[in-house]
Amino acid sequence: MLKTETKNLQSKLADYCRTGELTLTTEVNQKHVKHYRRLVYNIIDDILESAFPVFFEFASDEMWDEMVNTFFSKHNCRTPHVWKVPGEFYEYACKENWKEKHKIPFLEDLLLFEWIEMDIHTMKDETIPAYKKEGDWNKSIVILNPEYRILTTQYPVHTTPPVYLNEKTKGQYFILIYRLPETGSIQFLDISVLYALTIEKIEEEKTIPALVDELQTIFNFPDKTEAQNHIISFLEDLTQKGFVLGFKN
Amino acid sequence: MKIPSVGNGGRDFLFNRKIMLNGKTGIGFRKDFAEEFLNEKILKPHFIEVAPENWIDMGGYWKKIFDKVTGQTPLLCHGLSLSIGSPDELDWEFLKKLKLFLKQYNVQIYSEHLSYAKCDNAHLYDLLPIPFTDDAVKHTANRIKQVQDFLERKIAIENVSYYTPVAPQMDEPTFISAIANEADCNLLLDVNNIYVNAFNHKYIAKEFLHKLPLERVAYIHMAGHLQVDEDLIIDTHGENIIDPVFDLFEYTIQHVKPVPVLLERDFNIPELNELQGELNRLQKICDKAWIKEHA
Repeated sequence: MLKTETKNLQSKLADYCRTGELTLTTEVNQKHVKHYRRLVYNIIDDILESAFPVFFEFASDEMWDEMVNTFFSKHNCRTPHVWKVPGEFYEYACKENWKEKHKIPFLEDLLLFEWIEMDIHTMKDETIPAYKKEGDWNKSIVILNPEYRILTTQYPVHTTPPVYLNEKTKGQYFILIYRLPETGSIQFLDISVLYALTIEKIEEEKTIPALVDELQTIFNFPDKTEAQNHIISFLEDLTQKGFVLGFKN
Repeated sequence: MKIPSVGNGGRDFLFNRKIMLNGKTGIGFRKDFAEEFLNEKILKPHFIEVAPENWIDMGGYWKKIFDKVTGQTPLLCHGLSLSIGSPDELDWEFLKKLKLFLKQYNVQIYSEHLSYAKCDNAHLYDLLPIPFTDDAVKHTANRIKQVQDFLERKIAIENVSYYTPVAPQMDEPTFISAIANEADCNLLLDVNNIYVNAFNHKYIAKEFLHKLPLERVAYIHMAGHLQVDEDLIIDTHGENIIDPVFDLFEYTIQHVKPVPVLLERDFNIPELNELQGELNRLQKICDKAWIKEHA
């Protein structure tokens, strides 16, 4: 029903807002149309700046502007929720391999960490499973707060400012990020690979002795009882920190 | 910072109850003043308005706040992303979520902008002017009808501020009227936008007003703006309402039935008592015009 001519006008105006390249001539007021580009661009720039404060601070103005411009002009933003655009920015940075292009090896890790922090803060509420406070660490199934992610990164973007991230700091890091059910505030913890796998096994409803048996094949614990005690101690600490909720009913 | 209690904070009380908001004033609810709004009780609107896009799928801290606020104060919704004038397909997944949200929060009025915010499959997150053409009238009216059918309610479309016409075949009031009449939808009359457009496009605001189907007005918006050039005002929602816009509002409401009136303040937000002062001034004008006339 919409004529091609009208569709093209709309498309050209939208394209101008995204790229800054105006192909409309007498159809619009040349002096005033520029405000559309400015207003639209500022919305995207502001939402990305507030989502990635650490990277924004690190990046030069030129690099930041180029990234925002490239992203907005070449990527079709899919989400109707503007606050979810930073997630698409992260995906785009990975797809276009910006860490190589801009020679920032930790770029993807940093963007992911900053985005996930925001994503978990705003994510839809998960149903908290039924649990009891008291249980036997050696027999009961542990119940976790379901509002969390474990990130695996190559750089310690959660503890180290970008200027200090380099080949020497490269390794394998596991970051537990979770949301406290009562307050909605975000917590993050640097955890070991053992504890990351422990959490994964608990999600599979394994008891602690059972998961230690499975992890034995990976870690070859010299003393399984000692390993089990370490894990229980870790989980007790996470109970205090609001990540472990209790035990399965 | 006080943390609100878990639960729906009293929304059960408001649920399924139609609160009479005609002739009452409300405010655009912002995260910037959410905690102060809940804890200080300085701002006392009869209702609040939000963009549903900013709250659908939201959990955690902000959902707790939102549930608490909407448990105390009726909610109206004003959309940003529906992109009713877009050449693209309607986003049915979004509409499904929207329908649930409107039901969940017992939203009495849902409005959208007469503009487009998505094109070529890409969201722009701002409001672009639709070309005032015959085919755009039919296209947009048809989409409004589809949305109304799906949501099982009438929606209100807002006259938007715009900074350049785009190859128009007709004037703005003809365009708005044709769409509203063809779609049989309501109008959200943004009085500040009439003032802004009258200045930017050199027409007389009161004459413009009378060319609109005023019997369709279901909701009114008021806001501040910023003059950025000798011949251009931008609708910023970041300044106080100026006296000439208050005057135009006073004139306008003499010609429409009592409806809810919203104060929009999205940026540069002042102390809440200052916002309440603007609300009081709007309410006083409403009471003068509507209580006298409809007593």
